[in-house]
Amino acid sequence: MSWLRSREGLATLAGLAILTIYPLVMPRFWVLSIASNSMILGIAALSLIFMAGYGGMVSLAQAALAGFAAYMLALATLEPSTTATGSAIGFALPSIAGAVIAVILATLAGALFGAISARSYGIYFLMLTLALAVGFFFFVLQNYEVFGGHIGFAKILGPTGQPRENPAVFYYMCLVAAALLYVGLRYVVRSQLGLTFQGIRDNPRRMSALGYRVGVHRVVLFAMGGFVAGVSGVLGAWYRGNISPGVVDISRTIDVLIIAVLGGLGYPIGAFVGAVVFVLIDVFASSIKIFGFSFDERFNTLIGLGFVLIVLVAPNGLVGLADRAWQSAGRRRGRATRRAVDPLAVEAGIAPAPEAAPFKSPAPPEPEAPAPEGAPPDIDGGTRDSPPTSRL
Amino acid sequence: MPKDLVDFLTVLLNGVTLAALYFIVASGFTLIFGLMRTTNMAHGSMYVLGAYAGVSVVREMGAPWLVGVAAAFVIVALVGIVIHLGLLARMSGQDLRQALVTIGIAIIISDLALAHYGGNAYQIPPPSWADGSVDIPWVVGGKYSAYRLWTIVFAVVVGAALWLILNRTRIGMYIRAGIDDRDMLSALGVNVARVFLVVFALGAGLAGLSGVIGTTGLSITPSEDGRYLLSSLVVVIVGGMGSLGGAAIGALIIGLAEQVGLFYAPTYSIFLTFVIMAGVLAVRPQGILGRPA
Repeated sequence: MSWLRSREGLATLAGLAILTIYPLVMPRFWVLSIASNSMILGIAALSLIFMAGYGGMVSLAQAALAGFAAYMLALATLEPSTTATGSAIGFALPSIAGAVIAVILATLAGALFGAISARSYGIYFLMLTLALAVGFFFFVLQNYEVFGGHIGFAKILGPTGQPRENPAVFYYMCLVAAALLYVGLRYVVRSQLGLTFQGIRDNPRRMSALGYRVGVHRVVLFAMGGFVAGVSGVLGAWYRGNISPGVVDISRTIDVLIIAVLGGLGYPIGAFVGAVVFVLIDVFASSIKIFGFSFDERFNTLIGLGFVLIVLVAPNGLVGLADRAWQSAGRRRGRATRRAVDPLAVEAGIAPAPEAAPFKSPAPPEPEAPAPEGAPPDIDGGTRDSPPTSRL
Repeated sequence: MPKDLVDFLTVLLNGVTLAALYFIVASGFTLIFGLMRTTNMAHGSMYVLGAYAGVSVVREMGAPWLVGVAAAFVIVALVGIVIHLGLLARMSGQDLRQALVTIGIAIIISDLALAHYGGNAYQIPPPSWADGSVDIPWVVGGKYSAYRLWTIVFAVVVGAALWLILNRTRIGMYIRAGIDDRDMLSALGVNVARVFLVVFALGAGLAGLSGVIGTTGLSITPSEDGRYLLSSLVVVIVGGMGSLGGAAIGALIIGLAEQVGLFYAPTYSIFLTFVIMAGVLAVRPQGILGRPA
């Protein structure tokens, strides 16, 4: 076990080293349009994976919350006279202060969305959050007084200035944000709070009977999702330099879902894997040919087909596929491993349940997650599996 | 009559005619969901498909309007059958996975519609018997579009037909029994898979038919799918999933709220819709006529 742990540590170190050197050796296009863009989209998908994986809440409102943060950033930092419609709203705050305000407001907006949808579960929750997201899109589209209508706001400048002029600096800003959020969320899911979320995901009724306030926890989880999405929205606004309803329309909403499903709804790292693959397909769709058919103009058809394919053959996403390959390789080497069926995907109804585990809930999705003291007692007695063997 | 009152009555009439369209779109959505627990996220795309089928048949081939409606119903029902047999039936009972797959289908359909019809807005000319205007003394200008009034008739016809199918036919009996207890129905020897197929085709066909009805009064672009998916979602969330009466009530509330909001607070009108939705959910999470899950 220890050699594996050190190997994992080694891999993490190597990955970090590559990510650090990357912007210094790669051309600007690869630093900004590929890497930084992927990290911004990945953070948005991370917020969805966090909520879906640990709370069972597949929210389609994350792009809207990110967009909301971007709008708040624009309103907070722009000069009143520079807004596109000349409306006299705008507080001309420094960009960092604006970012803090925007993320706080996105967190509150997440809490509000959570309060509206806290009593809905599963597919109802999905529909409700989609309705909220599309509603937000139509709202900013028709509201010229505050949100600038279909034009939105331009000339949003980040603390590092134009990303084009300092690609490496902007890249590092995204990298630090992504890494902090990733590590932070992994910490949260192992805390008492995170375990409560997972308990509610598996059996809200039992948690309620144990005295946990299920509704409040779901609102808190949504607020945390709003926080993460808000960071993505702020970085995205700085990256593009503008915000308009096109950034929160239904296809952007779906993009976040596609990225999360592509990477794997049960794996936080899947957010970034999915984002990189998505961005690469987006950029290079024009040069992809399948059976002589060019997807030059039909990027959406390609992404739609790929999405359907992923849902059909790999419900746990690309990371799930890699995980399964790794585990079967491990089995061939003679180590005892369990079948790689993602409990979250089973829970969410996107993967068939393994025959061996008739009960919901078994493995905590984080490989290292130990059951800490003070964890909610398991009244089913022996249904909780022994700690899973390592995955990756 | 005072001008304010005339304005208000006109807004109400607009709201009711819009509600009629929303009801026809949402009826297929709620029917599919009620029986199969399948959330068809491609429902808005079915509307768009039907609308373009109508554009091709009525505008380009010059067929009568009612033929266009029938053609849209049949074409989109067939597309629904293909989607159901090819994809959804294979993942029966996995509702999230079905929702994800239909999202993928929606992306593909709207992209292919864009490829074939371009981004321009199309309209379908109304049939001669529904063209022109009707004299109504209590609306603005004293005249009102005859076609918009006809949409109310269409909604009543669709609602009545669905009610008759559900309550007076054998397949309707199966559908109602299936909504109550799918397993029991299957145990009684009914081929539930075939009932599912019929319902999915019917629901998709209704979306296609509503596409022609909507595109005659309004217009269609490849990106309209989001609007009608949203209206269907909100209508059934407010009215209650799987309930035909709920869809009618939800459509009336949402249609009226949208028009009243548009007239009295144009840049905040969507807010009213969502305040209503949040309010209903706070009191009844299952919707007005929905049954607890």
